[in-house]
Amino acid sequence: MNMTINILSLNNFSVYAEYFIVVSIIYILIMIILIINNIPGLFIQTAISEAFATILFLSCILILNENQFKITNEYFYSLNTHILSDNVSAISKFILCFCSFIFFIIASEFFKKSVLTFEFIILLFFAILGLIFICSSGDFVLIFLSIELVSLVSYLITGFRKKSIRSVESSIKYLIIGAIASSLFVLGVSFIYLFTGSFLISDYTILFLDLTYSFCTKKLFVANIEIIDYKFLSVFENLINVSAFNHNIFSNSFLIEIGLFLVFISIFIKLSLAPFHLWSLDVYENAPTLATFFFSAITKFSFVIFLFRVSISFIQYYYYIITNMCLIVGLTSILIGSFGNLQQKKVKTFMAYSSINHMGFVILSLSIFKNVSLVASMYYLIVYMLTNLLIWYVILLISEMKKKYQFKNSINFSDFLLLNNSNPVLAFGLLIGFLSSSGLPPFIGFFSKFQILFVLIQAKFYIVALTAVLCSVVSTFYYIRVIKILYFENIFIGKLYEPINTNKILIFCLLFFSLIFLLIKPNFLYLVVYYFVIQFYSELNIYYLL
Amino acid sequence: MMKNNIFINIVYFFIVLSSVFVIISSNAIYALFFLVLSFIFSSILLILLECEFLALLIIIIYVGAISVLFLFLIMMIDFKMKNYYRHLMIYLFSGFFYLSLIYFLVLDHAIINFKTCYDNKFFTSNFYINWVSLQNSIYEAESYSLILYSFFVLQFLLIGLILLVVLIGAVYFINFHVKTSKSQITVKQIACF
Repeated sequence: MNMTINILSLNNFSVYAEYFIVVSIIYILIMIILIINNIPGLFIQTAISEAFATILFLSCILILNENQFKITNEYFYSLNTHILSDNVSAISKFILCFCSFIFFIIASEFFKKSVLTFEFIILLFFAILGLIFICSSGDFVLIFLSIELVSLVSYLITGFRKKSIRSVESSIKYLIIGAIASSLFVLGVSFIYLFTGSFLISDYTILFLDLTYSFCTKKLFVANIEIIDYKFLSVFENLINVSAFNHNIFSNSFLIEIGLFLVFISIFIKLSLAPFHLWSLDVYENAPTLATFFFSAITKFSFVIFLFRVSISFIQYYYYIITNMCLIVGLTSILIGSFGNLQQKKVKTFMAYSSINHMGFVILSLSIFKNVSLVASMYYLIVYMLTNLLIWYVILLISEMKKKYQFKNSINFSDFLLLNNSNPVLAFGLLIGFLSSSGLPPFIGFFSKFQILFVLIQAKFYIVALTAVLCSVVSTFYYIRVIKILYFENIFIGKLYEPINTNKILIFCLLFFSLIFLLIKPNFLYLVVYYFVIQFYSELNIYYLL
Repeated sequence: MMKNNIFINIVYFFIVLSSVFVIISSNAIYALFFLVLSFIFSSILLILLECEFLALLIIIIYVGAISVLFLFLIMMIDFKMKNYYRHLMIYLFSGFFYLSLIYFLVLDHAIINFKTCYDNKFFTSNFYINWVSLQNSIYEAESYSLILYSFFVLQFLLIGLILLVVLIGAVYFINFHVKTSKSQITVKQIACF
């Protein structure tokens, strides 16, 4: 590792957004403490939330203003090679800041009758800082610290309702499982460090660069896909034997394979993917609804970006680990997410299972490491974030009424009864959101799911694609059941709902129309996602993998 | 020929033993005692690797602060661990299955990389010390400071932010508001559980 000291060189200072956010958190924290000490009983949650929304909007502008959005795929490392600034980091930071901006505007209306004090919002903002650092870091230590920051905030947020036993219990569950995941991560990183001698991603790109096939023709990478398909279930054989495809200096590199395996497993635990998903069902149900909204819509994005980064560094020599693991985990996620949700009556567990399902699709297309599959995966992720923002907004609106009259914080589907009769706009929004999640044709969810299945079939994973399609059919059932509850229920007296202000409905309409706009022009996101994916390949000069 | 690494093997054995006893013991205070022992043996391991500063720092922080925190917790809350082994037989076989998977597939091949011992500075064997370069060399604490505040500045600041998050959370959870008004919750009055 080259430990030269280059902190103060402002030529390559590319952390404007992070710097702005850190300074603003500290400033706002000091101001709040000074204000609250003087005036008792002051209600500042909406003000803070909207202030943070404007800060995120301005940081979006800061990110756009930097020299990273180029058509040429130049990239540079700054701050002692810890921060990697390229199109990937810029685009993912922008998307994250934008979706968090929408989140804070949504959240600003829901503090009036809840026990969530201003610390909740400040902790959320620390988490967003951590997520932004994950997107733009080029160093495993920084990634570990940012993951810890996000996870710590998550543990605190799930237990924020002190008086409720279930909330605190789920917080402790999340703490224990998250701590185990972080320790597995550190173990994996230490194994990789033992073998390679550094934890900088810039070093891995140099170390694992194999230029022998740089100028080959198309035939070889068709053969590459066939070899991946052939070695589908031979995970353990590959782990024990010498790497059969490449006889090189990394032939006895079992430690690095274990390290990579552990890192991936820890991220799968944090993403609540299939064999490691059981904590998320309890935690998502018993946490405050805003917290669950934050977990399912916003934190998952950064972890998937980190998975992309780690995969692209190690893909040339250790493709079989990454592809096999992602395939198995993705497939079980889809199976469990579809079949586990059939008997759910609680809304938050329902959304947890559906997020397992969606993340399963994203990871499944990550297992085929081609240009088109990464595009499909990223596109699905962005569409998932938008639909979840819409659906959770309506869930929050409905839970507000239930809290006012029944003092209950858990939401069942019986609270959605005949929403069409009292508020057809909300019901229509939920209709579009759920139909898009299930993947039915005219909506954007269909296009994103179709892209993933198309990529699977191109890679000759026929049985995988078949099971994914059958599980989508099963999942369509429970989405349509919700729509039936909204529109076609056979009761005479419906539920009481609260009237909505224009403030609240504006963001709802914007999200709703964004989904319809994507329906008309799905290519709107495609250019952004395409530049995102191309940047990965240009960093390593491995255009043959395209 | 004397084996160079017998002492380190003893330390390895005791770390594992005390960690196992933390999990097995049915009295909470015994578990805490074995936890303290495992920290102390870890710091002995670090001393053998010539990192004395870090070893003593671990004793101060882990034993002096964190274990005392757990001690207060055990004193104040009545932990009953009598029925701990009631469901042992249900999980025994699956536990052994996963453990054997990890051992035979993973650990066996990982241990090969650790088998050669490069530490030949045991007191029975001769080795050469260059005293002149030793005088001018950087010792351990100085090396930490040279790297931590220059190369890892960003990580250092992020650690500070993590501690701030923990502080905010701790203050929120301990904060005790006296409720001045009581409102009537009809649902709780009517409901029968």
